[in-house]
Amino acid sequence: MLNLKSLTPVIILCIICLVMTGLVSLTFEATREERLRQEELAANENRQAMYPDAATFDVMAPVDGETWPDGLTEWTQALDASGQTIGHIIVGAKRGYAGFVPVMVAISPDGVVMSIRVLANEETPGLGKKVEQNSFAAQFSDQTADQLFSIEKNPVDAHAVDAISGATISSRAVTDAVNIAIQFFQTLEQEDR
Amino acid sequence: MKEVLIILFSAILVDNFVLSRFLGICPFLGVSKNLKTAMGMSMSVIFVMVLATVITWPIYHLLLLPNDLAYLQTMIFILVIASLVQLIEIFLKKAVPPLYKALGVFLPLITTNCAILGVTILNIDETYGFGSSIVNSLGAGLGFMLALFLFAGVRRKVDQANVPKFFKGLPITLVSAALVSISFFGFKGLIENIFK
Amino acid sequence: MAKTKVSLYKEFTKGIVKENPVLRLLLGCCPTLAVTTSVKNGLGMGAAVIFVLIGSNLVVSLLRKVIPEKVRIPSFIIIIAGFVTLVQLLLQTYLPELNDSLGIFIPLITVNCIILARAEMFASKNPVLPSLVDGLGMGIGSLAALVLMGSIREVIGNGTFMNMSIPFIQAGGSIEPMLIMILPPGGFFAFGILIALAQKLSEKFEKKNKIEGDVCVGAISERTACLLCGGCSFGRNGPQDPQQEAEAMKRMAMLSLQNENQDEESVENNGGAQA
Repeated sequence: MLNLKSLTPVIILCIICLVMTGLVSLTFEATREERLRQEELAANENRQAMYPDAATFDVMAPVDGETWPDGLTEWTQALDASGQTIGHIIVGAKRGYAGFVPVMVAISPDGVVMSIRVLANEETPGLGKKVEQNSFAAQFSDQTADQLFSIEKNPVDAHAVDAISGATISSRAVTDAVNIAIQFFQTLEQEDR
Repeated sequence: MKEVLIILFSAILVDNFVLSRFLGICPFLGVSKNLKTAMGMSMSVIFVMVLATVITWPIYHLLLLPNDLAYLQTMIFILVIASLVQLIEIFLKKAVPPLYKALGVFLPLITTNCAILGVTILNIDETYGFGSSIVNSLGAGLGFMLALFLFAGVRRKVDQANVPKFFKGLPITLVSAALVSISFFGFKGLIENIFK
Repeated sequence: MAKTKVSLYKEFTKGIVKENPVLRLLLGCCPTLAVTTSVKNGLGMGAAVIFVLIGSNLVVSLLRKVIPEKVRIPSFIIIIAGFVTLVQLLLQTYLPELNDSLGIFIPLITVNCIILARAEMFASKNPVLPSLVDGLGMGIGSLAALVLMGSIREVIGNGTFMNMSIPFIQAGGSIEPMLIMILPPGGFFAFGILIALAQKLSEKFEKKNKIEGDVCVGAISERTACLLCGGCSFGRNGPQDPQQEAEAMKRMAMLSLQNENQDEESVENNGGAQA
């Protein structure tokens, strides 16, 4: 004998579940296009700032059987209107003071680090976060990508980076992340030849 | 191995769930007065956190993600956690009475504890694998326990202190929690250098 | 007519001052501490809470005669989780930046005590209009508290208000910004001070209207209080002696257990009937 009365709560709970899920799904479908557009805009915002002339960005993925080195999270090619590659955008990440510090590095096809941009991170505001400032990031701009950067006490060489005082770990994380990108660029070049 | 240790100790010390991520504040303030209740509560939290991760991670990666249903994450997870807690309770009661006696009282308390839902969502957001997720949940639970234990000691002193009348109770507890939270800053930057 | 107006007005204002969910009832501490590093975050979180609160109060009140007592809490949780997902989708679509900075605390609105408490204590017992007004009032109350926390922390910690810099609180200016206020300890500190102030003010103005007993339990039924916060007996008038407190907690937990045992028995009976 099936006791219908004691099943009602379960049935009602299920109906509520279904109705709420339906409501959420409808909203999801209704906002799908707009959301994708926003996501693309947000992703391209940083890239566009590095290559203002680029018309499209070609997001690359590892080819079958190929593994990217540790810490390499993204490789994008900036293309101009005619489809010509005008630069690479490589994102490397290294563990800093609190969590990973991702750094976006723009490297031109002829091997010059154009500029870098430190992406969202959880470094300490007022100390580690200072690596986001232009004065620190500018040290990497317009340097050749044939040589790795290193933190030096008395920077003389062009590839020597002056760490932010009190935030050595964050500064080193950024430098290492840039080096990951440079090393990846160098392997790209070798493969081309 | 190194990666696993880093995840574990980051979750316990650097990104402590209570003191730096602000998850599970209610039980932290509610049951830290007494070491015994703190023990029972944190054991149940660790237990449920790990089990919830074991169940929600596969659901998300094998069921929701392939079917483009990732947006139902919140609804599914809270349902899973609520039913999981009920099931654990029934199971422990019948199968392991001593454990039920120790944890049972606390289990219904943590169904809607934000630390549990929080850890399952964080594991997905941080794109951890299955193993790393479990380690992270374990670390989060242990971190919760550590914060609770340390704070129980602090509170014993605070409760005896002579504070202004309107600071009595929660306000002075929160201010002392601020100080404990500052002390955890000492662990920042430590993890990366230990496991170099 | 006039009478309903007065009581609606009362339902609306109680959530803002006298029973402010964050500062007086101490519900939803986690997001209050976590996201209030800036005014903007506080506003965003408050708005999301208002949306979910009004939505869930509306639906719960509409369905109050349909939802069976036994599956009350799960039904509420599902309804709330649904509205939270709606907010999340809308934020992702139209305000992706805010969504990123609130992060995990958007899905965690599901387990925010304020919302379940209002569903349980008010919406499930009252008609639609008062429930809506109650949701709006409580929502605005928590928005106000979140914005207040956000302002204090952003002004002192970062020297800005809504991202506009304040001239005399600058690095090298007459007052250095105190970074610690936008870091986690600052959250605990600011919240502690605010609650102390709220206690002081309430003592001054409403000597007659003291909330009796444990604050949290006063706000929600004893049973749900347990389910929600994992032991809320940290209120001003709660038991101060640890031994007593442990007893109180045990009692609360047993209450919730008892009820679930009943559910379980009925399920078993049901299974027996089927066999």
